[in-house]
Amino acid sequence: MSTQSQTAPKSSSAEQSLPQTMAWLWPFWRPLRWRLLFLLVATPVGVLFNVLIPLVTKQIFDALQAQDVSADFIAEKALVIFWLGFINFVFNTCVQSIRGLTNFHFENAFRQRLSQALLQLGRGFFYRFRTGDVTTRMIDDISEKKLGWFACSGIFRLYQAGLTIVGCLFFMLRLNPWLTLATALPLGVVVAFYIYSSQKTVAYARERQQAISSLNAYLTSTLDGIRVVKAYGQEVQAAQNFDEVVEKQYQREISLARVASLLEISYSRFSELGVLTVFALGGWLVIQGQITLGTLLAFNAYIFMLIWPMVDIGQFYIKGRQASVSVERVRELEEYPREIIATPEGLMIPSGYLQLQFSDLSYSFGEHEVLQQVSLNAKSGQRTVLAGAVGAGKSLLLDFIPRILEPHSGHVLLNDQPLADYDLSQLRSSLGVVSQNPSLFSASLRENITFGRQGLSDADLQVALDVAQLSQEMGSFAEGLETRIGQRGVKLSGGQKQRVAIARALIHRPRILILDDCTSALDADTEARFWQALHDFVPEMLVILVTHRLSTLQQADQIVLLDKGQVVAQGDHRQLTAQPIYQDIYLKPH
Amino acid sequence: MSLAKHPAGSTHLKAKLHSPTSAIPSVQADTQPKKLAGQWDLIKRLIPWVRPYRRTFLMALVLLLFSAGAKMLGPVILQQAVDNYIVPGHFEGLLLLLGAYVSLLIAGFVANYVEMIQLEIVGQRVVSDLKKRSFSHLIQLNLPYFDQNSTGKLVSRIENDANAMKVLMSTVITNLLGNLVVVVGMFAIMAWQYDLTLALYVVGLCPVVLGAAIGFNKLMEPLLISVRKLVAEVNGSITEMIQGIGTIQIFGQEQRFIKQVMQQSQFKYRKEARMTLAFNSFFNLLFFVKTLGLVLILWLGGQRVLRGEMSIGSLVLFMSFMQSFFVPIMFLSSQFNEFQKGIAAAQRIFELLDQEGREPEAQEQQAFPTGPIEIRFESVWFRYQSDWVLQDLSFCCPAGEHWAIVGPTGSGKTTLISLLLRFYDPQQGRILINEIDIRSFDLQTLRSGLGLVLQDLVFFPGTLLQNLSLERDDLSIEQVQHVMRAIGADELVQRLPQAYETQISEDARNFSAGEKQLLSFARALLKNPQVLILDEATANIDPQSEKRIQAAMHTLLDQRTALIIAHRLNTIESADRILVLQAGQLLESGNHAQLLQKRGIYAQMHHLQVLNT
Repeated sequence: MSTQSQTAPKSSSAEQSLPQTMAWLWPFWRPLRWRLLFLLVATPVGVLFNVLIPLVTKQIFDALQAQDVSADFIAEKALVIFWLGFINFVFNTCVQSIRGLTNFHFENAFRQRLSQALLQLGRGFFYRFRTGDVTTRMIDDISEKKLGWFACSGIFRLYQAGLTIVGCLFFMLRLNPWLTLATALPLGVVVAFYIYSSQKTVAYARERQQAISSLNAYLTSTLDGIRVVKAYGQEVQAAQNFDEVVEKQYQREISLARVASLLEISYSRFSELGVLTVFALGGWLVIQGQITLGTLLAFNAYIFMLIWPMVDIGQFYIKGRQASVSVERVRELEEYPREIIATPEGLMIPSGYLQLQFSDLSYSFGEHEVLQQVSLNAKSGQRTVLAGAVGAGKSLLLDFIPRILEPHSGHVLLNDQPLADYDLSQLRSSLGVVSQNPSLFSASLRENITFGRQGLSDADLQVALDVAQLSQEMGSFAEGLETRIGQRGVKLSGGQKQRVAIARALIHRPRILILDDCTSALDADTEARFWQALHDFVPEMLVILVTHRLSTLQQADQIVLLDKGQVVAQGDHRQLTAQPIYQDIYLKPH
Repeated sequence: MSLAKHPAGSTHLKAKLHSPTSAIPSVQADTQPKKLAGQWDLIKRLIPWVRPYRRTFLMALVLLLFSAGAKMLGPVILQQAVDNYIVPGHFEGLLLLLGAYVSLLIAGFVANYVEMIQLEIVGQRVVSDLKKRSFSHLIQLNLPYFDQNSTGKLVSRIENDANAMKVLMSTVITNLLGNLVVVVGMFAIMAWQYDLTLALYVVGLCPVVLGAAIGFNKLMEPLLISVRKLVAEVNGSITEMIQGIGTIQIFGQEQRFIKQVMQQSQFKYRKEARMTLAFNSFFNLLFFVKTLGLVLILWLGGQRVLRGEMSIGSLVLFMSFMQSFFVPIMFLSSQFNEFQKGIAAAQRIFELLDQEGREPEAQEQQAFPTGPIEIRFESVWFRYQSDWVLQDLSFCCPAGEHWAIVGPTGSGKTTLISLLLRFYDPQQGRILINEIDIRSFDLQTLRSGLGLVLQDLVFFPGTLLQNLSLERDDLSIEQVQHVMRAIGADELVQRLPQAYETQISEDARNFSAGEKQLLSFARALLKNPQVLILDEATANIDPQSEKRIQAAMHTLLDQRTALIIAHRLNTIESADRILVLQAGQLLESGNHAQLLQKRGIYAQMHHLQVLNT
């Protein structure tokens, strides 16, 4: 079954406004009230001690110019600067550390809430969103560099910047309003410049990133396929292609550098421009006797103090927009409608004989109906095979049994009761499911097979290994059942992965076993042994499977032949041999 | 003159502008260079790579010196302004001086900008050259090298390491040289023109700060590395969780997985918290040291001014120098780690360039036979490392016959094919094509005569057509269509938005496993080889399509030799001969009927597969 479908709508179009973003963030701040209070109070204290320093410097210079002070006075004032600087250092360290910690904390908090939401979504969600996209939202969007950063640092740096600007302006205005106007106002340009230039830089950086991605993709596919490259004598061609990719990246790097370098050196020049204004205009005022030399130097110091807050304001604007997009992307996951509703106090799964019935079940991807009024009947002790060409809807049909997909119309019934009436977790725990590409996890073999379920003995484990045809191979694992199999089981071969997944599905003696073409990587005799062992293990198990193998089809109690989402025939192998589609797919002589 | 108090602000911006590789997780960058002793040798080795761009490089250096000089002159001008014009009250003179300052600023700005771009160009050019050279070297290496080095590692070597090296070129040179010039120059000015003692106080703080910063960075490195690892771990778990979400739900393991991810995240948080505290404290402390410098200058310098030993303007100059002094030093220390990483990266790249084990040259340049091909294995023995994978294997597949090789996993089927393609050479015995030892062929010649279809299809970025014809310009679209129609793959092409011109993404998401195998098959057939080798090529193809492929093989491969490896025995029943391998040994051979009659292993395997109904 193909899993490609409509991609997610472009989230940037549905951008949230800043108040909405803040409203979304607020519940995360609520438990952190003390931290919030600390930041609200400590930030202004740190800022205050910082903006006082130029005033003391002014006193020193004024005294020096007047030439009627003692060395003690100078020493005393220098000591004041020392203490101002020290207190500022302490407060700044605390404020910045708390901000950093909170960013990291938020990343975890966002992730926890999102994981909870995500794990309640059905498969239908993943037909709409690619897993890579979801992973990006879970890892990148909420990270301490993006949303996590904005939620605390972004907001409180703006707060600090605002306070610094207010503080500086307050003292500057008191010293000389005209000089303030002339020097501080042009600094507003920095905000605009920052916003303009970072948007430019971001665009170039994105292009550069794309170039890096395509270089990596090229390297990965070529090196993974080195046998093909060599078998087809493509070494020289591959190197030439690579040269082109490298050249493209070079161009992008240089374009980015042209913008980024300009930006980088501009910031230091902004302060120099400010210095120039202070010395020209301030110098004139000093000469006129309207201000002292100390005042001029204090202004000079304030100019340096004002540059970074201006950048912060610009940054808040840029990052705020990015954060809004991230919030929107996260909300899309959180607010995705829950398809699968667990019935409270649902029915218990009956013991004994089970009958699973699909009646007139239909399902569609958007306009396209992929399953049309499918009806079939499977019973305990029987092996039912879903057959049909690639894309007939076989795998999709299996997803309705564990209720990770809900039918758009029609029903799935278990002993004549709709599946939805049963207790969801009990239903799921009475199933054994092995999918086409089984998901394994980076843990030991044992943990992958027992998979967090309680009350399983070593004997259960051994039986599961035996039936899944894994026990013969245990010797080849260095640490036996404790061998770690790597992320998604990379350290195992395809056949081993399938057998581990089979053992995982069997260990708790499921009442219903669902196998989705999971024996394709087993060789024929292993598969034959598997079927025999499975029959001996639980003869009354209800088995539903997808397979392409003729030998498996021949042994099935019932074959349901699907074509383009519809049941075209049912019966056993002998009965179906008369069906033209069945003949076409499985029986044409070669 | 005051402190541009905003440590986090400035480093943040800097980091944003200067992290070309930050988006790619670098696995290797963490490992320390084994032999730092060879640093100078490495730099010597780098020189030839810069040589082609020496003019640009030298020009950039000259501009660098000029802009450093301009930076130094700034505070001097301010001192002159205060002492000669503002205090005495000459406004016109002040304006003239400041006018000169403006032109100096502009000249410095331009020089600085041009210099940065030129250095970037040289750096990027060298890096590009290195990447190209290492890739073309890498791709010529023999298969055992690729068996030992994962793709991820090699990609990181070429992409991440080359970029890390660039830091050596541009950033370090700018910072190291540029700032060194500024620091020394300023010291000279302060010492000779103004006040040696005070200059020594200011400059004396530099090594302290620099040393502390470098020491701190080194101290923090293990923590940084472990944080990076934990981040990778958490991200891995999340990826795994999302990819296996269906399985987790079916098995009712949602809460366990959330708990697991959150525990990992909590653990990561604890380390990150330590890192945040350490970095914030340290960098704020550095800024506090700068305040200390200011206090020192005001206190000592103030007394001198009082005693008339120094002018007020000079005090302004000292304060201004203090300002320009600390920023370069802090960046220098932050570059120290980058520098080390660059050295380590350079070492690894040169290691790759020095890597021996290119594929063997032909002993004699035999031409590949044009007609039908006979393949003979003569007592071939082969092992990768310890155990023999093939033991004394001999057979001869006559021209034009289709042979199958069967046997359980690990029996040596795929190895046999790797030997035929000379991905490896046998330790004993030889392989002959039409009685010519395959070692006498040029590798290209040999491989171009053999068409290989693997279980996995490898796509290269490009259009479908390019991927099928693999840049063989002589192939017409009609030829491609003909082959695709023959194997029944034309339908899937019509499904694509731009048919043969559709761009294929590297993971080929647009195709199912079965479809990929069809395409892989088409690619091999289009090569029009004398020999076709199929390695599990039809495992995921439904029987209907497989039959079509087999039919196509009969028409397209008439008179050509084929070796077929398969799990499903019914697909090879029509083979002219079937070789049964087990543990590297040839146990049985014969056609389907003969082998069944023999009632040996093959008959058993066959029996199991068509298990009685």
